[in-house]
Amino acid sequence: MSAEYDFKSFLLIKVVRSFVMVFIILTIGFLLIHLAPGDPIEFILGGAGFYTPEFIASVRERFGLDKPIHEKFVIYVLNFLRGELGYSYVFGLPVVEVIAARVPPTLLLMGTQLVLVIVVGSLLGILAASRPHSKLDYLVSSLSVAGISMPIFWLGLLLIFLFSVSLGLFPAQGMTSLRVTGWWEGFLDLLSHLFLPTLTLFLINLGLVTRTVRTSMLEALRSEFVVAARAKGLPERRVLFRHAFRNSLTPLITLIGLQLGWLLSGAVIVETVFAWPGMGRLLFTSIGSRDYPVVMGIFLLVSTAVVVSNLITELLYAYVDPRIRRAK
Amino acid sequence: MNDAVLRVEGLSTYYYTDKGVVRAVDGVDLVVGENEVVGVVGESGCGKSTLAASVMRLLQPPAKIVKGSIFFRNVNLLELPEEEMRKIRGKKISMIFQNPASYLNPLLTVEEQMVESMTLHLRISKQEAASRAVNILEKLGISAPDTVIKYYPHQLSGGMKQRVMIGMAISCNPELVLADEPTTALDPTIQVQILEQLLELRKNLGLSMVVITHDLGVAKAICDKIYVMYAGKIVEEGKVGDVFNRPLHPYTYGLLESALSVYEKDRPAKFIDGAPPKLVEEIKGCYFANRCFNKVDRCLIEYPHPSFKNGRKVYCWNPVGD
Amino acid sequence: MVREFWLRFRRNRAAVFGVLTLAALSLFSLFAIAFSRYGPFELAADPFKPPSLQHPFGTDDLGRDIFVQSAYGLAITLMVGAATAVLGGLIGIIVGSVSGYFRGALANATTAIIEIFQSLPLFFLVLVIISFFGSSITNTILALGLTLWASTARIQRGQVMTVKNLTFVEMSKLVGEKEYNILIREILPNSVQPSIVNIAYTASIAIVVESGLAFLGLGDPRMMSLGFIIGNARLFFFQAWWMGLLPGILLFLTILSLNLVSDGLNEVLNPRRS
Ligand SMILES: Nc1ncnc2c1ncn2[C@@H]1O[C@H](COP(=O)(O)OP(=O)(O)OP(=O)(O)O)[C@@H](O)[C@H]1O
Ligand SMILES: [Mg+2]
Repeated sequence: MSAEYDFKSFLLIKVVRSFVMVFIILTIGFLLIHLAPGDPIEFILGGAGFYTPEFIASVRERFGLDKPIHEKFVIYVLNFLRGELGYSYVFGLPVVEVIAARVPPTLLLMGTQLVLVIVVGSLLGILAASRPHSKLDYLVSSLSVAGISMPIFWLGLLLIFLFSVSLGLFPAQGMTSLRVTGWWEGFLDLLSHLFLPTLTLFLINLGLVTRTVRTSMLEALRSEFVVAARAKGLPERRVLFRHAFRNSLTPLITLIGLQLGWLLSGAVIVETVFAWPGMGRLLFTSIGSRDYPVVMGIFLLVSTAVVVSNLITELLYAYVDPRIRRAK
Repeated sequence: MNDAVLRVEGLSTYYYTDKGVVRAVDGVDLVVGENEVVGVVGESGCGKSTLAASVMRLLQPPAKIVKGSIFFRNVNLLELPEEEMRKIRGKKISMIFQNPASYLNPLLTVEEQMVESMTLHLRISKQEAASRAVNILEKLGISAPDTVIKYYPHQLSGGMKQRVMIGMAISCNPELVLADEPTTALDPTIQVQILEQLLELRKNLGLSMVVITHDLGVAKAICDKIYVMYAGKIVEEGKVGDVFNRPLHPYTYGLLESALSVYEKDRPAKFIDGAPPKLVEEIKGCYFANRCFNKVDRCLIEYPHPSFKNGRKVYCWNPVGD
Repeated sequence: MVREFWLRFRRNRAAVFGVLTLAALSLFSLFAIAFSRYGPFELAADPFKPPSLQHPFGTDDLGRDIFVQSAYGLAITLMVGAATAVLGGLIGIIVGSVSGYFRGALANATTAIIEIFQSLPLFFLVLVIISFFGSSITNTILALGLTLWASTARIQRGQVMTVKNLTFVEMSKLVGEKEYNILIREILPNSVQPSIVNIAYTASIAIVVESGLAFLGLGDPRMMSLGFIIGNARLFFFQAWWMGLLPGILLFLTILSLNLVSDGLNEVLNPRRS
């Protein structure tokens, strides 16, 4: 059918745009390396003083640092595509390997937090929107603004003080304890370490999600098909979820999909506060030790992840809304 | 009197807005008999939709029903708990809306939308409900209903959407259907088809119906009885033939004249001058007085009491043709 | 029109609270700095002294007065917010106007740039810039201003696209006004309002990012900042809870007020969304 063909070309455009976006990000990275004060080799090798002159020369060669600027750029892009992001002098490993080891903890933290935030935030937003201007609505709205305005590191410290220092309930640092035996104990240990950083991110982002859902639900509840659904005698819960909420999903998808960069920024700080061994903490320590290649690598990786998540967002819009899926 | 399907008595529904109280429905009486089609006509904004929404109890703030009762089969709907009322909506009383494009959920297929009320009210399985839906759509003149049922609303034409709305409204064998401007959003040729469908339904299913419209042609074509509404109040009621052949209220007269001047080309155009009052204002006397060609002194002082004549009722101090 | 704007804004109590709190915070910071007996880096007393009349917020690990530090830090925080808002606002308004007013290649290019900046992970970009170019207050403001303008630009673009089709603009085109003049004299004054309102939002994001940087130790080492104080407090949290608590409340109040003001302004501009 021609409709399907149109959707395919819609997809194609989005994919091409994503590639262009990655290319632009690479350009920004390249420019930063060459505009920053100092020898570009610093930004590929980190502390160049740690290596033998022969090795430095070979890296110069591989990254084409002696070539004219346009050739350098081409080599830079090709190296990125091959996964060559430089070398970490701190770890003595290629940047890709250093970062890859830190991705799973970040995914664990972000994933847990996102699932909780989406579920609880949606429920609160729906509840508030279904009783606009009630006490509950004001409470939820006030807490949302407060959550959005809370400095994340400060909240983290308060939670450490409450749960760790005063109550002694949860560990405040790291992801695992040293002496744990058995996989079940290990799992519980992981959960207890996960608790505080997750709670911090959860409280910060909850307001964002609740607010977004509340606003879009109010909008959806005003629409006429909701009146029609009520006129059919459907129970209010069904009206809220199946009719109104489904129609108010787009802003929520936008929030999560397009603000991934912002959500990950929170993770950098939380991982630092709680010494969570993820990418964010790696970024922090690498900046401290001037391990520039790792800093740049994380920037490139996160930016690419954001581009991919934007693309997925577009696909989700189409999944949720048949009008896009079969657009003319 | 007791065999009435619907009996609305002294119903008042107000909108409490920032700018004041809008008395959208103001002391309305209305009766719908068994297998009867009742028309409610009046200009835009006179409170017709609010009246229908009040009967279904579908109003949202700032609207509030302040007075009156709505008897459906001698049960006052306004006294029912919400849960009981919910069981009546869509099952005993259902509604057809003016603009099918916005009253259908854009994200659900026709099937999903039709099936959900049947599984709820008739307690039948999804498969049964789906085949029932196909049957209904077929009867409503949709060709290839088993394809159409898988469509999303945006893939349907305006006429098809309205047929789907009608199909949903009758799917649980209601006793009363409220149709709010069922043809207004449609092309003239489609309008005629939809009207024929409604007439057909009434004949075959023994439905009672309230048809809300500002199109007198529609009212004339399918109604038995007519209520003329002006600024939240009923100003005249009677059998269709009587009201159309010999309108008593000057407002009805004016409506008919302007309608005829649209239908018949060589008639001089006549419209009612002025605009209906803002329902926020407190008005002394008859609401229509400022636009009326037949007013007498009393009209500005006191709201008209009803006068009865051959089973007709009119709220006017000086009816036309007296 | 300004009067009506204010009348409607006044009805939003949260927003009025925001304005008053911001004013109070600024005054607090000004007076505390003017009358303080110590500098922010100066050793004022013994280390780790809990709050007392002499040192209302206590002293830190080196014996510096946290009250004075907070006053300076608040000033810097507010300044970074204001400077970023102005810089980002200007860039946003210019780019947005160009992208909304003109057609063809120029419009396409600027629109693309706006989209690109909207989907870059700003915090990470700022981190890289600061890490590569060094952390100073100027670098921070530049990095923030040069990245935080896209949302304003998008708003401005939409506004200009609406306004340029209004009759009075078309009229002046017919009269033969120069494009440049039309944009500056007719369109800008009638379209910037929402973009200016967005400045409160930009300032709040800027402060969030700036305090995050300072917390991580990437702020200007010669400038006191609320984020820096809290970052320092983190290391001594177990023995001196006060080091981070009160500066944190100040920072929270600042961001909260900006968000409330921003919400209030938005509500006045588009009442339907509330
Ligand atoms: N949500 C609302 N808030 C305030 N006033 C309202 C609201 N909805 C309707 N009204 C007012 O109530 C009056 C009656 O409206 P209603 O929709 O019932 O009229 P109607 O006769 O159905 O008109 P139409 O032919 O345009 O559908 C109008 O004057 C309208 O302005
Ligand atoms: Mg209506």
